[in-house]
Amino acid sequence: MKRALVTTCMALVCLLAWTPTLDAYLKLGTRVGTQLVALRWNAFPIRYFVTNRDVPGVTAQQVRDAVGRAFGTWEAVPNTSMSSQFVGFTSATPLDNNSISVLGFVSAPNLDRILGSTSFTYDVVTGEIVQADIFFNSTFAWSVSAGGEPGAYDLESIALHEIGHLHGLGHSALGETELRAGGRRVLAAEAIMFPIAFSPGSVNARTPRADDIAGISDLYGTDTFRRTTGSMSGRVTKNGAGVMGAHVIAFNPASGHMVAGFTMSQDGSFVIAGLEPGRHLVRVEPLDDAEIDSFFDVTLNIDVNFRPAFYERLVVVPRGSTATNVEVRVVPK
Amino acid sequence: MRGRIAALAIAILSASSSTVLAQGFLQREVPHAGSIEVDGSLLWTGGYSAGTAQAIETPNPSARNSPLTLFQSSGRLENAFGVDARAGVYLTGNWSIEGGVQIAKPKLTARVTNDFESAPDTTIEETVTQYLFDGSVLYHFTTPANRRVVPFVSGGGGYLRELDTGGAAVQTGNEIHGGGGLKYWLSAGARRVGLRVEARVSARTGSVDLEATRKRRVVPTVSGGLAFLF
Repeated sequence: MKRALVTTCMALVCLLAWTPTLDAYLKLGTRVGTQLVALRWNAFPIRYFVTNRDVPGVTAQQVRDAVGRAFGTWEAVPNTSMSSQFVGFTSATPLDNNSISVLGFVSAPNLDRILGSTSFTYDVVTGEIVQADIFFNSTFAWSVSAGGEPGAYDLESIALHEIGHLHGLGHSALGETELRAGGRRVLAAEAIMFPIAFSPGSVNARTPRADDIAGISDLYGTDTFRRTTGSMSGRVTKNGAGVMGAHVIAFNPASGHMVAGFTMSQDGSFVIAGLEPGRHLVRVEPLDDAEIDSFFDVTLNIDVNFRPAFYERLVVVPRGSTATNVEVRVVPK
Repeated sequence: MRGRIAALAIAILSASSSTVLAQGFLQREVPHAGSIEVDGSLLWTGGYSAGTAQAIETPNPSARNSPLTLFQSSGRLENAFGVDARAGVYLTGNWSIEGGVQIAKPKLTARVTNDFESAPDTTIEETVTQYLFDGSVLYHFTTPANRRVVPFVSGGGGYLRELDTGGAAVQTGNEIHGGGGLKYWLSAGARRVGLRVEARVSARTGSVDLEATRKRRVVPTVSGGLAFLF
């Protein structure tokens, strides 16, 4: 059984085009021949170690506690089947090449815009994740304070995001940003898996949103999840041709929840799973609130030259089934 | 010969007259206790504001203090035409009870505005099939024996069932209503045909909306059609 070690910053993770039944949100995947399979854990609990290293403001024990809370938050998502186990402290770091999953701080001043990253060892035939590491960049200031600490990034929030990756989730585009000198600033986001973190001091990203919950449930959901939720499928077209990489948001006005996906092929087709049954508004926008390579392989022909638009009909998502033929027409900017 | 034919004709007419008289005696003028009324009408049902919703994102505290509204939508269930069918039985000459069904296909619209990234304002539609099964008590101020025009008032309650076009979304609720109208009887006797117009105010809980709040909505309805009484 051939295994490949894939070590990469999550912002650079290559998201592959999926088979339609898999493509809600972004999930990490690997190409097996002509097939694409999702990266996911099959063996639980996920056993992990924490690097026995203190950094200013955060002890190794506090890392363990924050990481444990973050794992617990994902595992508390209803109708999912994941579990994790803290094995112990280790002198190993997340960047070491070994066979254990390690989470901890590493100083990486060269990665001056990377707060953390996740790397995997996975089976290139089945997509099964067998080991994963998460490093937090100690170049930045960190905090585990319950209410946050000015000037310091909240470790639990960032751990929640990275552990989402560790489980196989890619990035969500449910967020708005503005360009400023020195980079983008997040104005607001409605997904833990948005690729750009909230500013230091914020603890607003400690709770998964509807989009995160739909994503993790799509990977690890029980039969109850599949019976009690629905999905929608369709296409995004511009001048009759499919749009690749369009961000499609399904908004449930009754709950206020947003769950989003992407068109993942040249014909502009998309599927969004894990939706609450009921009426949804569908909005399509170009992928322009973060770098495209945060979501997709840069070799893919992602189209951002169109105006945001709404589907002209309400989409009623059936329980345990799929609302089909949602075709959203967009126009060039 | 002519004399015999004339006599026969008279005899037949006489016999017919006596039959009519006999029927008139046995089948009293309607309505009376036990009389049945069947009605079929065209229906107009009023619309209502069907709630508002905002697509909200959690703010980055350093960038803004309040949640970011990606867009907002306001819903409306539009006015619609439909049909109304009902059957009733008279308890007395003035009082009757009836059950019926109203079927209409209003459009549920959502007006999407104020998009953060300037998506054009859009009106989004869906057709809803609406069934209202109801029961009412009616009081008639006069009876047809007195006048052709019979004003009445009614009140009752019902069960509401609303489906989207594909039948995937089913919403159920209940309603109470009150109203009144006129019946204009075109004929007299044991079987009558007439016109019926009625206006109601229906207060509905669980009727379709964007918010799914089960807010009570007040809906006016007007119906007009034929009535049969026997």
